[in-house]
Amino acid sequence: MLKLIVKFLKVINSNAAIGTVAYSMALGALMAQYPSANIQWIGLLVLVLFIFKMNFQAFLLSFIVFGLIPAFLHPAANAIGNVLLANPAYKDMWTELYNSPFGYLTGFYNTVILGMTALFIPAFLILFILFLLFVKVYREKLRDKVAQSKPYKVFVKIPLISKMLALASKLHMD
Amino acid sequence: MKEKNKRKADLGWLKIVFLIVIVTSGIFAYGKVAGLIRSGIKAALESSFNAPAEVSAVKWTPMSISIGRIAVVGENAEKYLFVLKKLRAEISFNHLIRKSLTVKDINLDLDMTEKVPEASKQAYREILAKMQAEKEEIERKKEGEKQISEQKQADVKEEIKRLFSEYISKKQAEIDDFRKSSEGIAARSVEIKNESETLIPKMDKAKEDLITLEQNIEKAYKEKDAKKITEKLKEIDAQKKTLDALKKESETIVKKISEVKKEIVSTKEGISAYVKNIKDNYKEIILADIGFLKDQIPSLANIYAGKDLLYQYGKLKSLYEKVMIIKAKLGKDEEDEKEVKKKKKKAGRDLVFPLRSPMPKFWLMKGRAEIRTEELVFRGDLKNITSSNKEINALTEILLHGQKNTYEVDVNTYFNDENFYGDISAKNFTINGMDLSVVILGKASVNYKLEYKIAPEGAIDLKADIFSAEYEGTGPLFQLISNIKEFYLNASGEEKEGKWIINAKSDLDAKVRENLAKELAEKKKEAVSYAEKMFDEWYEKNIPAQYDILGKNSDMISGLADPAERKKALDKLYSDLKTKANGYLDELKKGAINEGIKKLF
Repeated sequence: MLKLIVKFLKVINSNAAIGTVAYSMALGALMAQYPSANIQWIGLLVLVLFIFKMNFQAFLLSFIVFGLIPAFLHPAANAIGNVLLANPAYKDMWTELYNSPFGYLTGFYNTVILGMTALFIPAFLILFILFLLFVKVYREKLRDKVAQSKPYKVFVKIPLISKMLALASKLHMD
Repeated sequence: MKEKNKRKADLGWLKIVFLIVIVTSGIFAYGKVAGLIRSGIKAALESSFNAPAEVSAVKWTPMSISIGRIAVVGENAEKYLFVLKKLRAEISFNHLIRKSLTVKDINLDLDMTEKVPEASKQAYREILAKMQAEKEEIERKKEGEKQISEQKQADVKEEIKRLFSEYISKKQAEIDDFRKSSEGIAARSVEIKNESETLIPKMDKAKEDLITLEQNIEKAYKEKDAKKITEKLKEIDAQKKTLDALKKESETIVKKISEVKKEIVSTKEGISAYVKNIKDNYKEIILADIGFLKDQIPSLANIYAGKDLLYQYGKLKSLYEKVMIIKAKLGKDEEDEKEVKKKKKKAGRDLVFPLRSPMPKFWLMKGRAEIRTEELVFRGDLKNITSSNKEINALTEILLHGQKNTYEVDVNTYFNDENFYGDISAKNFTINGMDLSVVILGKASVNYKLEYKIAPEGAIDLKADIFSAEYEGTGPLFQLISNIKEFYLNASGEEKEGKWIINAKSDLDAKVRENLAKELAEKKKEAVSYAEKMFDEWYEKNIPAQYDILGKNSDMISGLADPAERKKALDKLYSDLKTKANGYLDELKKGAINEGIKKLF
């Protein structure tokens, strides 16, 4: 975990593409919040691992942090899912989907899963913008201040951290 | 740039390693599942037929399963009981993901004539002997367990006694508290009585002393002896100390009396609430005891009466569970309940939409069978073999055509799970026998006669009748079933388009249901009335004695002479006497002064 934090700090401090870092963090946060026992979550994981160009340190740290905090998106997702599933106009479509193996495996008939699916793109865009701003503001205004701050200096002087930073920097140099 | 490419290449390797891990795990899991299916089928066959089984490699996908050969060794390892060749079943993936094993199509090639190879015979005989010994051992154990279980269930009264003493022992601490409280009250009441009996003579003595003083003062007054009156006044003052001590003593006793009276009332109320609590809760526990049929009903109901009875039982079971929760709340931990609630927690709510296809636990939609016996070769179709005909809303169809030399046999059976009562043991079923056969239906034996005639041109006249039914075992539920003196089971054959159809109908399920409801109601009534008797006996033994002690002590305390009243009278006597003595003294002094003045003039 500490290694991951150090790597994340390196990423956020380095000149890694700001957009990649932000969308990796946004995806990590959303995947942590999305219920996992369904095929779309597994599909998304495969995309993240093999297809998307990702910053894994940012993704993983965001996934762990947002996995630890309570599911803040679930109440809204539950309400949206409820409205969509209970709507008589869509009943035929849901019945069709429920009867198909693929539809059943998506778990769409769960209010939170459907709500999270509906919320996914808007939530992704919002989180992406927020993380983009965060990284930008951090690099422009906070990076130097943090580097000069006493807590940071104390932190990097911790033997384990300093050793890991040295190792990371050595790897970077190679 | 170079460095960036290098890092990319590193990450690429990582992805390949990850992919290899996933693929290897997939292959391993595939092999493992195939092995599990194979060993599962083998174990199930060996346990069902109590004979060694051979199952070849299993090939599977989520949509199909193929097994080259399944064989079960027959008696004395001479022949195989049956050999199933080239089994291939198409499975519905859509059903499988919803926990319903639905076989869309199956080919069964069953050979009942294959001999066990000479080389394997000896080994199989040894295994058969070992399995037989194990089976006997298990049966002996089961028999022992059954006897214990029947003994436990044999007497409802014994069970109630056990429950009652268990419940009362939990409540024993409370009745002990009441007993201690009553004994304490009795001891204190005696103490108060003794104190009161010591105090009253003291007060009477003080009263007598005051009256004597009064007489002496009056005498001195008549003698105009002021000096004597002054002396007597001093004596009155000395009496004051005695009166004060008596006052203190009397107040203490009055306080004690009031406390004991209050305690008697509260103990009486406590006992009455405690008794009511036992009476009410205990009834609930006894009602829960109708669960004594709990373990036996599902299996027997399945065998004898099908789903309707199970539904009845389901209702009883839910009542039983509710009562058990109440029982648990009376004295047991509620952890289990909390755990159940925890398990149920899931994000969101699952909505259910109508399913286009039914999802019973097992459903063989259609299949073809070829069965080779020593006598005949049957070929035909199977349709809708299922765990619930009600769910699929269709009859099970087994249409087999047998042929040997000059005659043909058609076995065309249509049935559903409402009038089919158990697994017919294939061992005892011979289509070409003219004798009475015994079909084993679970734990019941049904004697039936199957008559058929084969006309020279091959037509068959078929008639089946059930003559009698016998049941094994004892105990309340067996008794319940053996109460049924008669029921009808009608199996009739009719010819349709050159094929014979056997229809079976029965009222056994309705009769069992009726008997069960009656029996349960009687048992419940009997249990409640016996429980009340037990309660009355316990009440008579424990409670009136407590009330008696409290009542006697209450009467005793109330009957004590009131020291407060006597004290008041003494105070008044004292104060009147003092006023009187002072008045006499003043008068004498005044008289003496007047006499003196007169002498002066």
